[in-house]
Amino acid sequence: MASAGSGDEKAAAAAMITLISSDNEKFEVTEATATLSQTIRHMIEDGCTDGGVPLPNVTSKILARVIEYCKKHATAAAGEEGSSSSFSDAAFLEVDRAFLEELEEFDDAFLEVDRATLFDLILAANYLDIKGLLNLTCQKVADSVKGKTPEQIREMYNIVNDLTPEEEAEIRRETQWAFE
Amino acid sequence: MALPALMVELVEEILLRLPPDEPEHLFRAGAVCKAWRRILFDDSGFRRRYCRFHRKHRPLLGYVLNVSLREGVQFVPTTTFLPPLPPAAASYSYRAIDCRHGRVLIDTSECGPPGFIVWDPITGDQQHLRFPAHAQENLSSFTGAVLCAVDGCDHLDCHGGPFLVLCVGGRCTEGTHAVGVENTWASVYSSQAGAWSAQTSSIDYYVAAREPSLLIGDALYFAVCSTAILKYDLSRHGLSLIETPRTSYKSVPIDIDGGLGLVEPYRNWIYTWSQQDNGANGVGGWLQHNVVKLETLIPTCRRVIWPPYNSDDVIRFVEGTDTVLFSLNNYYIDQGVFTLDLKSRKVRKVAETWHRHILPYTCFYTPGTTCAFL
Repeated sequence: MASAGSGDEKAAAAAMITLISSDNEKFEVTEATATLSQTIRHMIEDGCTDGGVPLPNVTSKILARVIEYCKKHATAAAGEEGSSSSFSDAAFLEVDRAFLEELEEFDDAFLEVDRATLFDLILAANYLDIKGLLNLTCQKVADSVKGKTPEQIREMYNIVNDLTPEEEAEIRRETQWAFE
Repeated sequence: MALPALMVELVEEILLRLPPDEPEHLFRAGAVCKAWRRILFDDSGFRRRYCRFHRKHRPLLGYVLNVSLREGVQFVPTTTFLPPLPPAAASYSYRAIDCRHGRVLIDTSECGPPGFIVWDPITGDQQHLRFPAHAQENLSSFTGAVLCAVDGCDHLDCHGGPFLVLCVGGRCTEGTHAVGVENTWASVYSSQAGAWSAQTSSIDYYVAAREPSLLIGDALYFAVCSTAILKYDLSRHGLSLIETPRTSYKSVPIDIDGGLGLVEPYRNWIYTWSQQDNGANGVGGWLQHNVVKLETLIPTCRRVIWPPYNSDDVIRFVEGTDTVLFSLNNYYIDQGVFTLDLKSRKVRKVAETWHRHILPYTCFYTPGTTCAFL
């Protein structure tokens, strides 16, 4: 049908999804961004997104960060599809590499958050089933655990030591090499 | 402010991402609290998931070393992991001849009745087996290989399972003792059957050296000389020789994305050869690739020197990875044991001392696997 507005605009408008945080804030995102979340992808497939997608487990503060991640990575995914079409010459590889480096820098900067936020991001990535974000955030925590003693790990993450002194002594005796 | 509590499965997601080539982190995590300990120890699924998660990065835990005839087998760690004493500690003339799927094959024939020990450094398990009875007659030389016996196993975690031991022996043909006129046979021991198979038919070839083997698909390959590789086909139970381009010392077989290749050190370079489908581009169907010039990677190097290669240099392919372990005894470059990633060309020095008889040992080492010797 002939109408005002280009086909592109119509397609874009049709592909917007509204996400609603636990504190009732609404976020308009493209379908491409939203479907990085497998949870939301399934809701779209089931036609349950009219009137917005309520996300009662995610606050607006965290949802804004999650959307920031998804926007960047949705663009990256689109870029990858484009470049794999027919060109594989050096210039294209160069562009790809520059883009990957930029994405890595984005991820590094994205992870510059306090531990409480990092844990909230892990919970949100798990709930929304966003594999890339779950991997990124869990790896960040794993890296922070590396090289730390059990005491330091407990202190960093407010973990109560419920092992008895005897149990602790036994663990250290059995695997002394790991504590040297 | 207390951090939000992470569900058990999310703590598991974090622990899964601790690196397998630094096993101490998982063991320390196991001393944090009961919940973390339960994830690592009680849930047998963790070890399985961990191995799968890191399947493309099988960690090199160290190498097994035959120091000298009088010092026996040693384990040299390249990580913090140090296994309990190898069985060789009991007898100085034991010789490790192969490593695969978490097991080490040790030849005990220098002392006592001819035979092997299959040693699992992770669990400490040792299984002794006698030589095949039919092999002991006129046996002049032999080598061997050990592997998991389970069809379709991914070998990420097959400790304690059934295994096979291949024995490749050389026999003096009656009345002749000259090199080259021996014949070579193979026999396979199955731990499930507790018995050796019949011998393969013999091929006229002399197998003197005890080089470790390489497993690709259903075949084991042995470096035997500078122009050929010996192949044992597991499904057909037969031996054959594969011609290779003449290399500087011995054609050391490597696995290039599931295909047979070679690696050799020559004039301070490390080269690989890949087998081509047609012989058009290469020498007799093999194509040579430059991998690295050692002095550009090892900063202590002084200058390129004569002789073109050093027969003391030893190269071993680390199965299940793209890495070789090489032992360099070149005073003009460096001395020591190094790993080289054939794809990224990264070199890492893992020991300061040169050793000739080295066998790379890869295995996942997590808290759940230690119980057997604790």
